[in-house]
Formats: sequence, C-alpha cells, structure tokens
Amino acid sequence: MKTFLKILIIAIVVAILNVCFSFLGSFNLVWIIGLALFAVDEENFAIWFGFAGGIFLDILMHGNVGSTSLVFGAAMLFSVLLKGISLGPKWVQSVLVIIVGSVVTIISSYILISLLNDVPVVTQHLLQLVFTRGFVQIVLSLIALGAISFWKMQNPTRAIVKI
Amino acid sequence: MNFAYIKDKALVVFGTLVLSVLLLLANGMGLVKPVYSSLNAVVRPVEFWMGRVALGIRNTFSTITSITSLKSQNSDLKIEKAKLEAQLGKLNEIQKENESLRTQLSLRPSKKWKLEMVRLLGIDHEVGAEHIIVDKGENFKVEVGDPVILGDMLIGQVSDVFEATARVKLVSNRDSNIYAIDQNTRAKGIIRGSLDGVVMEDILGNEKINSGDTIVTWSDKLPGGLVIGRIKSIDKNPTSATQKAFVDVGLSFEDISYAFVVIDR
Repeated sequence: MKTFLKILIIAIVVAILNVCFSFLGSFNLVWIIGLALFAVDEENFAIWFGFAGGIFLDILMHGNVGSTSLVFGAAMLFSVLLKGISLGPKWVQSVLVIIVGSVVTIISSYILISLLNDVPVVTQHLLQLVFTRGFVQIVLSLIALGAISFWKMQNPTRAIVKI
Repeated sequence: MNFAYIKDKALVVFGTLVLSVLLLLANGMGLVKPVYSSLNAVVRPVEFWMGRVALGIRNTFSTITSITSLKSQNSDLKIEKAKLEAQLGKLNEIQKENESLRTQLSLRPSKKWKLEMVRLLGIDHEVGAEHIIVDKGENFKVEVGDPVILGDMLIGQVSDVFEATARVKLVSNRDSNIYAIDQNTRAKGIIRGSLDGVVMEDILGNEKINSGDTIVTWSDKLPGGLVIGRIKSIDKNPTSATQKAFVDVGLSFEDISYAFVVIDR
C-alpha cells in the first residue's frame, strides 16, 4: 500500500511538472524519467511509474486517457527484449534502452494519435519527428540517466521505490 | 539470452498494456470524464503557480542567452504585433462588409461578445493534436465549440470542458478544420495544422491567392471575420484541382499567457 501510494504521488508530481514546464518546450517527462529508471535497473518501478504517470498526464494534458501509458508500454516491451538479449557491457545496454525506447515512444505516439484522430500517417513527418523530438528526448533521458545513476552511486543500498 | 528475465518483465508490461487499452476504451465511452473534472479542479492552482515559475525560468534563461534584446519584451511585442495585425485585418474586414459583400458571404458584423478571460495552464505539443489547457470550464459556462480569441485573432476552439478547466484545440491542430477566406481575393479554403505549419487547403485551383493576404474565418460555427493569419507561401500543383497556402499565424502560443473565450455570441 505504501509503495502504491509512493508511485502515485511521484507520478502525479511528475505529471503536474510536465504540464507546467510545457511552456518551456515539447517533451514528455514521464517517458524521459521512466526510460532512465528502466535503464538503471529499476524496472518494476519504471513500468508502474510510466503507467500511472501516463494516466495522470493524459488527464491533465493530453486527453485520451491510456494513450501515453500504452505508448510507454510499447517502449518497455522493446527495452525488456534489449535487456534480455544482453548486448555488451551494462552502460551500452542502458544507452541502447534510452535510444530504442525514445524512438519507439515517438513512432508509436505519432501512429496512435493519427489513428485516434483519423488522420493519415505521413512517413516523412514521422522521420522528421524522430530526428527532432526524438533527439531531444534521448538527450534529456541521458541526463536523467546520469542523475539517477549518480544518486544510486551515493546511495548504493537504497532503492528509489522498493517493489 | 535471459528468457526468465524477458518472461518475468514482459508479463508486467503486458498487464499495463491491457489496462491502458481498457482505459482508452473507457475514455471513448466517456466513463473517465468525472475523473478529468475532479483531478483538474484539484491541481489547477498548483499548475497555475508552477506555470508562472516555468515562465519565469524560461524568461531568465532567454534573457541570459539573448544578446540583442530581452525575451520578455520580444514576447510582448509579438503579442502587440499580432494584435495590431488582427486589428488591421478587422478594419479591412469592416470595410469589405461596407462594400455589401457581407450579405453574400455571410460575414457577421463585429458584435459586443460576452468574453471570459482565461489563463493558460499548459500547452500540449503533441504533434497533430496541439491543445492548450485553460483555467476555466463549466464553472464559467464555457462550452465545447466556443471560439478562443486574442484581440480579433482566432487562437482555437474549445474541444473539451471540465468542471474548472477546458482544453482548446488550436488552429495548428491537424483536426481544426476551420472554414476560412482570403480577405483580398475571397478565395475559400479549410484551415488545419500540419507538420509544416498551419495550412489552408482545398482552395480551388482557379481561385487567386497572394502571399501576404490576410486569412479570416468564414463559417456558420464561428463568428466570421476573425483573423487567422497571413499567407506566407503558396503550393500550387498543376496536376491538382486544388491548391494550398501556408499561413503564418503571427503568434507563438508559448508567448501568450492569457486569452478570451467567447461564451456568448
């Protein structure tokens, strides 16, 4: 129960921050922090945080409750596969999770919104998005990854949220 | 390959995916609306004040990085410029109306609309589904379809209303579909968003449009004569029966912190 509440509180705070900081530019803090958490082996927390945060973000900003979580879930599936395959050293895996996860979120989000709004998917636009918005998300996720890794180094025995 | 790891984690992810799909379906059936209203009402004050903090941070960074001018002044000037352009467009429109085109084109004269000032709580940048979130909803009689304006410039239309907030579909939304007319040549088309910016589509190939022309609303759903922007470029395909024009709305939505909802027109 305590863990469940912790996740809900963190998720809603991040969602509120995302709405407020939307004046600064286009980014999705839930995806960014969720991917960084997954990359630093906080998998269960990352999955449930992404799910809850996505719902709150949809309620507060996007509409279509479930769409942000669905897109994050798709990215998580790829990330699980990547980690399961175990390609190279740990830092390579973390960076791959961030890059692949970000690209999957951007692509699946564009396709899902197009489906929900009944507008055609334009490949050229999709590629443009991957190279612009995807790049921003990768950079921000890498910064989040660095920050969380640093925190974990300082607190090696503590889990952020133990699940 | 670690199959046990994949199986373990994929099951959890699959569970969240199923829940997400169920929520999307529930949302489509309108079952989630009470949650929208209550949560938005609760967090609205926090969003408002945090939004001011975010704007403060942005302006501070902009000021530091700006070499020639202050960003805040620039933002104010942009708004002022857009307002003046809108006023100019409106004056031109009134002139046109006086030339008796109004009756034929169903452009209504400017009225004393009942306006409600709203503050922006956030901007949804989701490509193709651009919205802004404003701080008034059912509690101020805001309704779906109400136009949102700044001066005589159209910003968008209310698409969802909750107890204390509302979502406004911007002109740049792919689904905005606003009937519009070239103020000078009277060429008609439909305004919607695209990744290349706001575009006026479905203009008949034989109709004349010029760069720099002002585009205004022309619809039975919206008040006529609201300024949308100016044509910045024209895409004429000789093989197509229609042409399209890219429109500069002249206003960055990041630069505005308030707008007006026309709640009675």
